[in-house]
Amino acid sequence: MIVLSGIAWVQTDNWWGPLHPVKFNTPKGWPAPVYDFSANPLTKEGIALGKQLFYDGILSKDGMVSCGTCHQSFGGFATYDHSLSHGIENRFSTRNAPGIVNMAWQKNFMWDGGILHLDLQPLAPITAENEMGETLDSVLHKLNTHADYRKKFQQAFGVKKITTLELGKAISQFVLILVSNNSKYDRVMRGDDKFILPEQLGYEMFQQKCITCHPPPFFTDFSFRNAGLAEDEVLQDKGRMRITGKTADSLHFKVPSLRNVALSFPYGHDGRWATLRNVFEHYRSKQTRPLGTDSLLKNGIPLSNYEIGQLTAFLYTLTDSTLITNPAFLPEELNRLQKQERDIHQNKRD
Amino acid sequence: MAGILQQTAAQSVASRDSLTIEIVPRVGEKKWTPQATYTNASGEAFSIDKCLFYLSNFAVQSSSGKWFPIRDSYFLANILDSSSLQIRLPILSSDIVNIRFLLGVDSTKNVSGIQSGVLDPARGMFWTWNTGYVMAKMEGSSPVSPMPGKKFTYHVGGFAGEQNVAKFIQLAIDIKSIEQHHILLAADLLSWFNGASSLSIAANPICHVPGKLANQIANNYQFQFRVIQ
Repeated sequence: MIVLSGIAWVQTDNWWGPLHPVKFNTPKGWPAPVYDFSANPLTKEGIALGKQLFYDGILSKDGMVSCGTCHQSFGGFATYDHSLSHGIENRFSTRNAPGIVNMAWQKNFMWDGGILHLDLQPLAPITAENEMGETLDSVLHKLNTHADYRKKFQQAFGVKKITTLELGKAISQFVLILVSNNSKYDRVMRGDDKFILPEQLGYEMFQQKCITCHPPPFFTDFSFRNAGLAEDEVLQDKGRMRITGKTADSLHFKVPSLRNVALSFPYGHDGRWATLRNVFEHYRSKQTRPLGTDSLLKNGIPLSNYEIGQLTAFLYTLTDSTLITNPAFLPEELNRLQKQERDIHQNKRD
Repeated sequence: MAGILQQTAAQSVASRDSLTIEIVPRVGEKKWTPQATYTNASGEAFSIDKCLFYLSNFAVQSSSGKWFPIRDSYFLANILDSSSLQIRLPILSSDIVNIRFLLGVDSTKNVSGIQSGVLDPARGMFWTWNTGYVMAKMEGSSPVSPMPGKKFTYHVGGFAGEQNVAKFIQLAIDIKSIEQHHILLAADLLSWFNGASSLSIAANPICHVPGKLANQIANNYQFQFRVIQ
């Protein structure tokens, strides 16, 4: 009788657990994460659910746009090769989606730092009319009437009814494991690899010219700065000022991480620079800087063509090939396709 | 008649360990109705379709002067939903002389990730692009509004530093209402427009960001409450 009732209990849709905890590993030498893992302990189930949501258009109004649409694995989880990230129905957002790696160490999110908790971050693109164009009510309704998601949310979080809380936590679980610490630069620092000469020279120049705003291990100091970019007349994006309401913060944007910078082109908050070369040209330009430009950039950064070459070589060492090829991070469709792909060198003639 | 009296007595027995605050939305001295047209201090006619506000961090003071905070007390009052206007607080004693609450949501809940219940961002009282709660919201229309559909929308929020619009409200409690465990609290929505700085719909039909205008509106509406029984 006890056995029977046990089976009956397992077979009802109340079933959940046991969960499989996942330990978050802080890379050696890195600071402790900012994210409070005790409030959202990582589990295999939570991460898998977060990944499924991340790559599912169900979060958007027309079913076509997922988080992964603009945070593309092959672009270092930034928007690849598009200046302004695209939303539903041919709409453009007003910014270039940044790479979302190493988010566990970030205190605020977005180019303007307007979002103060990682769990809240997905709500902004989901509800923005020019991004995913949805309402939270509608998304939660879609999830709560979706048998597979209901089951998975119940397994991961023990809830019968999915609310915003579990939605945010699930997506965070996946995003949190996107840690980029295995680029050539990291291997060199660990003593497992060596820079070639241009990389080494670029590394030394980087220490002199770039490191104040882009310090390792994140290659950003997470500050908001006015890099002397003229305001776009159409977008009229004031950046940080939109959040603080202070004129002193006009045209301040978060210093972007340079990790995977070779993949995350185009550059700038609105993707105005197609190439790294354009970025360097902006910084070395002798033109008068607009009022309010960061004091470190008031006179630009003197850079010779030679230095730009070496710096570029160094920046390319920040590409983390293990991040962008890890099947655990890629959409399942892509993983399936890659499995099916035949290696022409190995192919036997039929 | 006897039946009604008996029922009332039974209800009050059932609620001995709780205190119900019933919010009565008014415009001036009149009870608010969605169809009615009112006039603000700037002489502008208007009607109100929607009004919601958070009430949180309740505490009661006994006659000895000691304050007793009521844990996890978060409520979202919505003038269109009468059940949300009945705020029920657990209390240990009827010895209450003052009541205090925050008109809005404390900064801790603004920065601690996604919350549940009435604080769930899906309630529509949360800004996702500049994260934080809309502490109070009023929407309606006025012939003087320059916006499409003659609408005005006041979404009042901001929790950090100078932008903070959450207001502590303290009210003396009438002894009779304590005996009945039921307080009638009038919320005068006209106060949004009339106060230290009058709010003109023609000049300011929209408030959707924290800052000066939001502060002005909150400085006005912090005086909207009055115990009427």
